Amino acid sequence: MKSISQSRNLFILVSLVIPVILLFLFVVYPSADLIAMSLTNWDGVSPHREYIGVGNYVEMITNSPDLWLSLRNNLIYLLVHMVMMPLELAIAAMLNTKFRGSNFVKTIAFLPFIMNGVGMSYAFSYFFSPVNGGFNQILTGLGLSGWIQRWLSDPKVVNYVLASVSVWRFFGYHIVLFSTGLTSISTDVMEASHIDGANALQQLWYVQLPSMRLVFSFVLFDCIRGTLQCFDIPFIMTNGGPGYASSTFTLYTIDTAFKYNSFGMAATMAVAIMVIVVAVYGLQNLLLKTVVKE
Amino acid sequence: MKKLIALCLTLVMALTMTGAALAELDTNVKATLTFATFDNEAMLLFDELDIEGRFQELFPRVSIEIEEFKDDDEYFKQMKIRASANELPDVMYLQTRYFPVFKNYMVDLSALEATKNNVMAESYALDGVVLGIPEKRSEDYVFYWADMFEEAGVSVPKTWEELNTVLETLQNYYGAKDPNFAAIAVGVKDAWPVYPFMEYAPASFSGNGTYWDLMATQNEPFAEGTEIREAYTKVYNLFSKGVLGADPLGIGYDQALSLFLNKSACMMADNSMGLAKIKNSGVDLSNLKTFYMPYTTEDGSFNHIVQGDFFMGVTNTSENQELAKAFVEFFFSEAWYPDYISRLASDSTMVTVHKDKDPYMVFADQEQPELTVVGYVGGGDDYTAIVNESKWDYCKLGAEMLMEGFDLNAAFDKLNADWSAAREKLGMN
Amino acid sequence: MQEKLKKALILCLKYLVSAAILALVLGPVLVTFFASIKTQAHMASTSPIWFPPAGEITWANYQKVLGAKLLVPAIRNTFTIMVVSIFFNVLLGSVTSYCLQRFQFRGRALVMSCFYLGMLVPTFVVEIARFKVIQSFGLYNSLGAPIIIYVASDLMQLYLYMQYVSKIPVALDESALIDGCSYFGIFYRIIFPLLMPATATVVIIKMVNIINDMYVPYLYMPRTKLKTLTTFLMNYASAQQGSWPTLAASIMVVLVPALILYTFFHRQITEGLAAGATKE
Repeated sequence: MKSISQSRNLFILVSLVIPVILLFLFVVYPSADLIAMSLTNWDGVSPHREYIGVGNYVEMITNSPDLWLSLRNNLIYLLVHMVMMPLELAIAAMLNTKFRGSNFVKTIAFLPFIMNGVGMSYAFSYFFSPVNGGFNQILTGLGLSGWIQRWLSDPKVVNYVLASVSVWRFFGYHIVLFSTGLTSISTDVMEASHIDGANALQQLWYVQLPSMRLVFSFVLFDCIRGTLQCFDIPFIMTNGGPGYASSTFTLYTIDTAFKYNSFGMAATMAVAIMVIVVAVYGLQNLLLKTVVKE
Repeated sequence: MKKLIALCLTLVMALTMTGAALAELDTNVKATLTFATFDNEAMLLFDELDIEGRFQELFPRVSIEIEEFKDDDEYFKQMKIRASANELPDVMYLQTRYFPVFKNYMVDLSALEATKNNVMAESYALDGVVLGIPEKRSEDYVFYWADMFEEAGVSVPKTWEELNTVLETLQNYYGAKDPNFAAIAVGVKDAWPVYPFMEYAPASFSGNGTYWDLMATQNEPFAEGTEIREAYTKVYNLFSKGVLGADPLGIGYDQALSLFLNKSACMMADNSMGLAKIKNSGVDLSNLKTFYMPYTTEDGSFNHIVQGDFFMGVTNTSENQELAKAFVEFFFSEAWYPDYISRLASDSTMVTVHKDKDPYMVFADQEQPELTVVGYVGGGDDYTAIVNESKWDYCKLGAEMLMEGFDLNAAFDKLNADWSAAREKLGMN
Repeated sequence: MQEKLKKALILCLKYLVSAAILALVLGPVLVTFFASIKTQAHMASTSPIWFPPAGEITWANYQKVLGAKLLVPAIRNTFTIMVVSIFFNVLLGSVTSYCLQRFQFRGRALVMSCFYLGMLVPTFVVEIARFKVIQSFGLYNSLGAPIIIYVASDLMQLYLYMQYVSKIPVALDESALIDGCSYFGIFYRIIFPLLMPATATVVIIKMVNIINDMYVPYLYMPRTKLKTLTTFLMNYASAQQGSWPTLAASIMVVLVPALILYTFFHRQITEGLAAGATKE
C-alpha cells in the first residue's frame, strides 16, 4: 500500500509543479505586488516607491466622488443584467419547447458571445450615433422618431445604452446556460409534478427554479464579476464621458494609473473592487441559499 | 564591391557631416535598434522610403525594428509600463507634456549635430538637457469650405468676435435645412478633439506659451480676472451658441470628419494629420481652404501657437545608446529627413532642410499675414504633479461645457478648490 | 378547436420572439457590413441601414485591410500562439483538475483558493507585476509572452475539467490501480480519453478567445513583425488613422475566423460551456 501512496504523491507532485509555479508567477505574485503597491504613492515610472500606509485607502473612501459615481454606473449594468435575467429564462424555456427552427435561433442568439468584443463595441458606437446612426434610422423607419434620445451624450440615458450593449453580448450565453439547466431536470420529476396537478407556472416555480440554483448562481456570479470589472464597452463607446457620466470603476482606475500617474492609488482601487466582488458574491450565495431553503 | 560601399559610406558621412558620434562607432557593429512610434501619418513612409535600408548604408549590420502604436494615449500608457520594467525601445518619441514623466529615462542629446541644426530643440531643453529633437513643426488650422462661406455670405473671421458671428450665421443658414448641420464639427465624444479650444485658448489669448507653468505657481488659477478664466468663458460662450451642431457630445472625431467631408459642417479645426485624412478621403477639395483660429486680444494682436511635435529621443536604458544617437543623427540628416518631411504635411524643423508649406495651408498665411507666434510648451514638473493630484483635464472640462445644466462659475470654484488642495498636499504653498 | 387556435397563437408568438432575437443579433452586424462597403464620403449621405446605391458599392476597404503585407505573418503568429498555448492548456488543465478533484493532499485548499484569486484579479492593474515576470524570462516581444500568459492566467479550463472529472466514477481508477496501472497510466489511458468532450470545448473556446484577444499581444509584442490577427486589424480602429468604413471592414474580417469555428463546432461550444455551469 505504501508504494501506492508514494506513487500517488509522485504523480501529484509531477502534475502540479508546473501549474503551481505558473499560478505563483502570474496570480499570486502580481496580487501581492498589487497590495504592496496600494500602500505606496508610486507614480508608475520612478524607480522608488514611498510607503504611505493606508493613506490611499483613506483618500479613496473620503475624497474620490468621481470614483463612487463610476461604481454607481457599474451597478446600473448589474441591475440591467438582473432585470433581463427572467426574460432570458423565459426565452430559454420557450426555445426548449422545440419548435421548428428553435435550435437555429439558439445558435444565432449565442453568436454575440463569440464575436470580437472590441470590434462590436466600435460598431455599436456608430450604431447609436446621433448623426445618421443605424438605431435612430430604424426608429424613424418604424415611425418612432419621437423616441430618439441623445443615446451616448445624455448622462441620464448613456449608462442604460451601454448596459444594453453588454446585455446584447451576453444574453445568448445566458439563454444557453438556462436552457441546459432546464433540460437537465429529469422528465420523471416533471411528470410526477404534473400528475400531482401542478400547472406550468407552478412547475416552474416549485420544481424547475429550485433545481437550477447552480445555474443561477453561476450566471449571477458571472454578471457580478463581469459588470463590476466592465471596461471595454464604455472605454470604446464613450471613453467614460461626458465628464465621468459613463465611467466605470475599472475605467476610472485605469485613468488614475496611466493618465494621472497614481499607480499606488489605482492599486488601492483594484484591491477595493476585488473585495467588493467577493463580498457581493458571498452575499448572493447566502441569499440564494436561504431562498432555496424556504 | 566592399571598397565601393566603403567609398559610398565615407561620401555619405562627409555629406551629412554627422560628425563625432558616428566616427567613434564601429560601422560594422551588429545590432538591432528598436524604434517606437504612434505617428500614423508616417508609419507607411518608414517602409516605403526604406528607413532600414538607408540606415544600413551607414551600418550594414544593424536592423531597425519599428514598433507601431495606434494613438498617443495607448503609446504613452504602454511606455509607462515598459519604463518601469526597463523595456523602453532604443529610440522613442515624446511630447512636451510627457517630458516630466520620462525625463529620467532619456539621454541628453545636446551634443548632437541634429540638435544644433534644429530650429527648436534647444528651446525645449529642460535645465540644459535636450530630451528629444522635434521632428515636426506643428500648427493648427481651421479648414473650411469656401463655397459654403460664399453661399451664406460670410468671410473669413479676423477676430474672435467675428468668429462667433460667422459661426452663428452659418448655423442659422444651413442648420435650417439640415438638422445634422454643425457650423464647426468637433467630435467631443472623444474629448481630445476639443484641444484647439481647451488646450490652446489660455496660451493663445494670454500670449503666454508657458501658461500651464504660470498656473502651477498660483493657488487659485481660475479666480476671477485670470486669463484662463476669461479664455474659457469665451470658449464656453461660443460652445453655448449651438454652433457645434445638435449633439456634439454624441459624435467622435471620425464622425465629425465625415460631417465636414460631406459639407454637413463648414469648418473643422485640425492639424496636418487631419489634412492627410481629408486628402485621402477622395472628396472634391477644390473649395477647401484654411485660416488660423482667431485668438485675438483687445489690444489687437492675433496670437497663434506653433510648437515642436514628435520629439525623437534616445532612452538611457538602451544597450546601444551610441548607435541610437547615430540613428537620430541619420534621421535628421540629408540621407533621410528631406525625403521624409517632404512627404508629410507638417513643416521642417531643420535649418538645413527647407520645405515649402502645403498649398492648402498657405491660404491661412494669406488671410492673416500679421500674427504673433506663441511658442507653446506642455506643463513642467510642478504643473504635472498638480494635474495628477487634482485630476485636472481641460478636454474633459470642454466636454462638460456642452452638458445640460453645466454651471461655469461653479466649475471654476471647484477647480480652484481642487487645485489649492493639491498644492497644499504637495507642499507647494 | 379552441385548443388548436391557442396552439397556433402560441406558435405565432414563439416565431415573433424568435424573429425579434434574430433581428437584435444580426441587425448591428448588418449595419456594420453596410458601412464596410461604403466610402467615407458616402457614410453621411446614405442610409446606414441599407446598401449604398447600386454601382456605389466599394470593396476598397476590404482591399486595404486584406492587401496589407502584414496579414500573412499575422495569421501565422495567431496560429502558432493558438496551437502551442491550447496544447499546454489542455495538458496542464486536465491533469491539474484531476489532481485537485480526486485527491486530498496538503496545500490543496491553498492551491484552489489561488485559482479563484486568479479569476478575481482585474488583469489591467496587475499588469506592471506581470510585465516584470515576462521580462525577467526574456519573453518580452516574443511569441512566448502571449503563450505563457494564455496558459497561466485564463483559468476557465480548470472549472470545466473539474466538472467533468467529478462525473467519472472513482471505481474506475481503483480497478485500474488494482490491475497494476500507475497513476500516470490511469490518467493517460482512462481519464484523459473520458474527458474528450471537455477537451473539445476547451480547445474551441480557447481558440475563439485567442483569436479575439487584442490586449495581450498588443502589450507584450509591439514588434511589427509579431502582429496577430487582432492587433493587425485593430490598427484600423485608431481615430487618427482609420475611418469608420475601413474599421467596419476590419471588424467584419476579424469576425470570420470565429464565425467559421462556430459554424462547425457550435454544438460543442454551447453544450460544453453549459455543462460546466450546470452539472453538480
